[in-house]
Amino acid sequence: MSDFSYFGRTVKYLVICSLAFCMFSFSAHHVYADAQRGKQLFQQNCAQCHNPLRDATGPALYGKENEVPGGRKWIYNWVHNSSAVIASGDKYAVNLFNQWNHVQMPPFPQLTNQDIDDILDYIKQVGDEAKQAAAAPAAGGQQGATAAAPASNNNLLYGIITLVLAIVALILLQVNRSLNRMANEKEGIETREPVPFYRNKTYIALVSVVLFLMAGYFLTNAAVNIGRQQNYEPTQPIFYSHRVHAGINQINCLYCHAGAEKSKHAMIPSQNICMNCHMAINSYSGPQLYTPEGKAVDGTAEIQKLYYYAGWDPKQRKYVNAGHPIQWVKIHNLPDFVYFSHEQHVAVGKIQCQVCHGPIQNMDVVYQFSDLSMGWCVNCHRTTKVHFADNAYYSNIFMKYHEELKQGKIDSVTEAMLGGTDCQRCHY
Amino acid sequence: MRKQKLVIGLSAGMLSLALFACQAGRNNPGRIYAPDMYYSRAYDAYSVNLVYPDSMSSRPPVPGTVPRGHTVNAHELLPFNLPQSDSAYAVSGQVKNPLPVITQATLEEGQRLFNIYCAICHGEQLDGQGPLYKSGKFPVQPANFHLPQYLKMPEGTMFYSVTYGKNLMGSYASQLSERQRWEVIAYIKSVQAKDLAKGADSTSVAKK
Repeated sequence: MSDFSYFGRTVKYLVICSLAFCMFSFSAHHVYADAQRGKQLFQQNCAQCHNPLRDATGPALYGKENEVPGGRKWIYNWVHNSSAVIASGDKYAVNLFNQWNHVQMPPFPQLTNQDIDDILDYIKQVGDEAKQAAAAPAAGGQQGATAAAPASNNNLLYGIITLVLAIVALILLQVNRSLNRMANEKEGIETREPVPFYRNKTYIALVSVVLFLMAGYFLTNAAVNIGRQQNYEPTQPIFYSHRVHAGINQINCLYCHAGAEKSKHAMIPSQNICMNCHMAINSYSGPQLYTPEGKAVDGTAEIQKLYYYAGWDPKQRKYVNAGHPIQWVKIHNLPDFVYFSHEQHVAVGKIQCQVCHGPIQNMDVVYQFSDLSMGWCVNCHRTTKVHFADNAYYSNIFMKYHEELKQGKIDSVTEAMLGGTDCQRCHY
Repeated sequence: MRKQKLVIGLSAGMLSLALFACQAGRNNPGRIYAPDMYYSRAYDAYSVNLVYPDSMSSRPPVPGTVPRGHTVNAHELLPFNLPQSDSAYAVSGQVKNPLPVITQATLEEGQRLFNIYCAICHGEQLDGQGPLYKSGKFPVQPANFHLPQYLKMPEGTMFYSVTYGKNLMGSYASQLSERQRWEVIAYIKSVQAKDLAKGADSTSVAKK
């Protein structure tokens, strides 16, 4: 009997649950019934200025439906002719207009009330989904932050192993010597009193030679490297990650460094170029960033720094003061006695940025990849084959090489053949 | 014994000198032979310059002047001289593309420039589906040049928008010279001409 009642209860419970589930899914379905149509209409008419969740040219639209004074009827009027609503002196409308820097929303008389309802359904759907998604994975976010700690350096490990092995070797040597002595004593061979190592001439000679060589090596290297800054990786005023911009977001190098094919300088982009995107993109949503020391970096805070420098107020969405220059730290520094032009290398030579600057699209903090020494320049000039035959720049000069190429005497022209190793090519 | 001390002392001295010369820390650029040659005493493009009130060495062009070589053709074209204002935007459509001839090379250069400077938002297909929008980072849909309102947008209006920016798009005047801007617009118009030739209407192009 008890078994049966248990079974009955379970069935009842199941039925209620599935009914509730059906009702819930039906109602959800009903609310978003025309969201698909609304999505299409939104993409065609609204998406150029509005985002459901974020402020853009116009305000974020999610939740506005409950905020406006006259409900949907107000929205119909606004969408059909917003300037008429403002002109009518509607308080909310005038406020909105002032708050958004007097940017006029164009009229959409072709949208029917049904169309607008569908669009609003779509906005509600997007907003509700985002809310649910934000509520759910609170635990997941934390995990991500701790998991991606930077890889540690192996040098310390190697050092310890070397030290341990050296100690073991020393102990073995000592043991060997003691055993030898004991064996000698047993056989009655006289052993000389051992000379302490600091008075042992062989030791002293050996150590001096090794010290001398090491000192010479380091001293020469240090002297050669004076004025070279390879691996220089300074902290910049804003944690600008080339990995995020050029790597993940696939922004072309020339987008920001537009001068690289037009002038000597590659051009540190002016702040208006940053603001081309960051007027709209005001938070960072990519992978967690770390300084080379392994400290976590808050990307959104770094974007706020840009707003400070640019004099941009993200709340009012306009420039409110003259701003300040960002004092980026120069990394690649050629002395004044060297002439270098990006234009020659990028526009004419068609050299990829990475040839000299390394895997820049993987760098969070930029470091100097090449040593920028003269030997490095000259070696490249000697070995690099110039795009010669089909390059308009060379079409009317160096006719001798054109001839020889045609005759097959040479198969390619290197930069050195064009005078790329002459002193006065870079020093004048 | 004195000789021995001398040798050891000398070696240790050299070693410590070498260690001293070593660079330490990623923020240290290291030592240089001639600082006044490495760190220019003349004003560099980005250096502080106290001669000017805003202390910047890079100066904007004097208003009303035309930098040499920066117009399309000095004899045929005065620079685009509409100011940034709503009324100027309204009449910008009357400005015509001043490039004397538009060749295949012009269009190819326009396409190359478009793919560098515009495609990140507007997409290489000019459909408003650039990587920044598709990844969800850019909140609003960039203009889809296949839509009817852009098919009929005059090139002068496009030039105004590229020069001064429009809505969430910023000015590209600092990245693209006037000639380059007209090349990009010539390329956009050449792609749109194919749409118009197909007799495309809004419903067939608006498909996702």
